[in-house]
Amino acid sequence: MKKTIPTDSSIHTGEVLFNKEVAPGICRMRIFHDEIARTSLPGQFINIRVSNNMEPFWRRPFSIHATHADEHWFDILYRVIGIGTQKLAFVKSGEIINFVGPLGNHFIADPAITKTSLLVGGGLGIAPMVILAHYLIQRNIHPIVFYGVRSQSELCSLPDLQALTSDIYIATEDGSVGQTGYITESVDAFLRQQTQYNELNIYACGPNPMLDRLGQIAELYHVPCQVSLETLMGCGIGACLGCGMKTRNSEKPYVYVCKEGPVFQAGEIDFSE
Amino acid sequence: MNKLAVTIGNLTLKNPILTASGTFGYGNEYAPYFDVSALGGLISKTITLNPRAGNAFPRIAETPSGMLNSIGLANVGIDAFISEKMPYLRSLDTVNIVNVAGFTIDEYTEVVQRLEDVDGIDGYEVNISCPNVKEGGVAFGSNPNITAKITANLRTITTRCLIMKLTPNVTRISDIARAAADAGADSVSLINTLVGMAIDVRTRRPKLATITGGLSGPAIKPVAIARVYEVAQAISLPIIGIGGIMNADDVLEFMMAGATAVQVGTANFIDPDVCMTIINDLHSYCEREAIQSVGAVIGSMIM
Repeated sequence: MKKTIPTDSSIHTGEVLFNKEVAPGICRMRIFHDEIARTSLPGQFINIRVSNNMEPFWRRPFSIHATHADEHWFDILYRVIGIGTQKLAFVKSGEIINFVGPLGNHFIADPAITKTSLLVGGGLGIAPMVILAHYLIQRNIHPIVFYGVRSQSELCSLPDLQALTSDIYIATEDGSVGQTGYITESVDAFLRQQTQYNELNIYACGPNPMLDRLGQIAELYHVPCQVSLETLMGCGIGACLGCGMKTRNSEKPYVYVCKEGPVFQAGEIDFSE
Repeated sequence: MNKLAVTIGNLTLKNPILTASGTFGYGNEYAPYFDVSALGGLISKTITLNPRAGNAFPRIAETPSGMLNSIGLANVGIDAFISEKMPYLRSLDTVNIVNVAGFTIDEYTEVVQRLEDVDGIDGYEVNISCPNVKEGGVAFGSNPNITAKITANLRTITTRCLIMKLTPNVTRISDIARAAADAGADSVSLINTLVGMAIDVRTRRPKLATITGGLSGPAIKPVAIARVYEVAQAISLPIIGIGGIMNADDVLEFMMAGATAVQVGTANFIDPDVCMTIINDLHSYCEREAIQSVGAVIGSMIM
C-alpha cells in the first residue's frame, strides 16, 4: 500500500459555515476552506485545535466526511463524547477554527482492477464513506454502501449517500430499520451470493471488532479490504509515537495510525488486543 | 550582531530555542510547518544501539494542561539513524544535537563512539533520565556516581558538546548536576518528565499500558522553573531549561531563572510551528525592550 502523503499538510484557519446536530449526539460541521476542499483525499483527516486554552490540551482528529471543491467547503461528522467534542459542539457559524491538515494517507482505488466497491461504515465510521463514494464514482467504480448502526436514530448523511448510489444496505442492532444485527453479516450475505470476486474490493471504517470480522470475511472470499483506523492521537503528524496499532508482522510490530495510516490493508493489522 | 545568539559549550546557537528529544521526531516530520533551519538547534529522538519498537499501547494520555507518555524509547536504532535520518539533519542550517541512551554504562560509550565518525553532529544530549524503560534511564540519572561515570567516559571520547539530560525524579537534582559538571559535561538540560499516572475511572484501568509514565506540558512548568533555578545556583555551566514551554514568555521565564537556552517539547504536538512563533516573538521582545543580547536575560530575576 502506498504510504506517501499526497499533499503536504499545513496549519490552517477556516470559517465555520454551520455546525449542527444531525442525529442525537452527532454533529456535522461545515468549514470554508478552498485548499482542503480541492486537495483532500478520502480517508484523510484534519486535527482541530478545539480550544485556545489548555482544555482540552491536544488537538482532536476528524475524518473528512464530504468536500465540495466549487463551493470551497468540507465537512466533518462527529459524536459528542468527551471534553473536546463537547466544546466543538458549541462552535457557532461564522467562528474561525484552527486545524492541521490534510493529514494521513488515503483509501486507494484502482479502476483497472476494481469495478465495484463495498463501502462499509459502522456508526461514525460512515464519516469517510461520503467523500470516498464520490471519489470512486469519478473513477467509474460503483459504490455499494453497507451502513451499520445500533438504532435508526443514529443514521447520518443518508441523503448524501443516496445522491451517490442507490445501493445502500442498512443494518441496525435493534432491528429498527434494515437488517437486524451487525453490518458485517450483511456484507457476508452479499458476498456469498456473488459468483465473481476478482473485480470487488472492500473499504471499511468503524469499531475495531467490526474491522476485524470484516477482514476475516474479506479473506474468506479473497477480496482486498482496506480499513481506516481510529486511535488516540497526541500530535497527528508522526512525532509523538502515541497512536500505534499492533501488526501481524513481527519485523514491524506496530504501525503509527496518524502518519502510516489511517488506512491499512485489513490483513496488516492484529486486532486481537 | 544576532541579538538572540547564545553559547552552550563550544556551540553558538543562533537563538535559544531547541527542540526537546522525543517531541520532534528526526526533524523532517516538521518540515511542512516551518523552516526547521530557523531553530537554535534540533535535538532528535533518543537513539539506542539497537532499534526499539517501544512499549505497548496505550502509550499516551491527556491530562490537565499536559500529557503522560510511555513511549519506551522507540527508535530506528543507530544504523538506520546514520543512514536514513542523518542526511536530512545534515542538510539543515542549524545545530544538530543527537540524543543518545544506553541500557548499560558501556552502551552509552558505544553509541557515542559510533556517532563520532559521523559528520554533521554538533553535540550529544545524554538521556540518563527516561522514566519509561526498565534498565538504565532514570536509574542512572538518579545516581550521582553513575552520572559522573557516564559523563567522564563520554568526555574521554568526544570533544563535541556534551549535555547531560537530568531527571526531576530525585531528592536533589543539584547533586546530580554537580556530578555531571565535575565529570566534564558542557551543559545540563532539565527537566525530563515527572513520573505520573492516570486511571480511567469508568474501566478502572490505568490510562497507560505501563501504568506509570512521564508527565509533560505546561502542568510541569513551575516545577521545571524551580529546578532550573536550583541548579543555576549550584553550578556555573550553561543550563538548558525544559518543561511546558508554550510561548516566548515561558522562554523568558526559564532564562530569568538561570537557563541559557531552552527546549520546546510537548507544545510541538499542539502547534507544529510553535518554535517559529516563539523565535519571532523573542526577536520582537528584544526590539521592544531595547535588549542588545538575549543573554542579558539569563539569571536576571529580580529578588
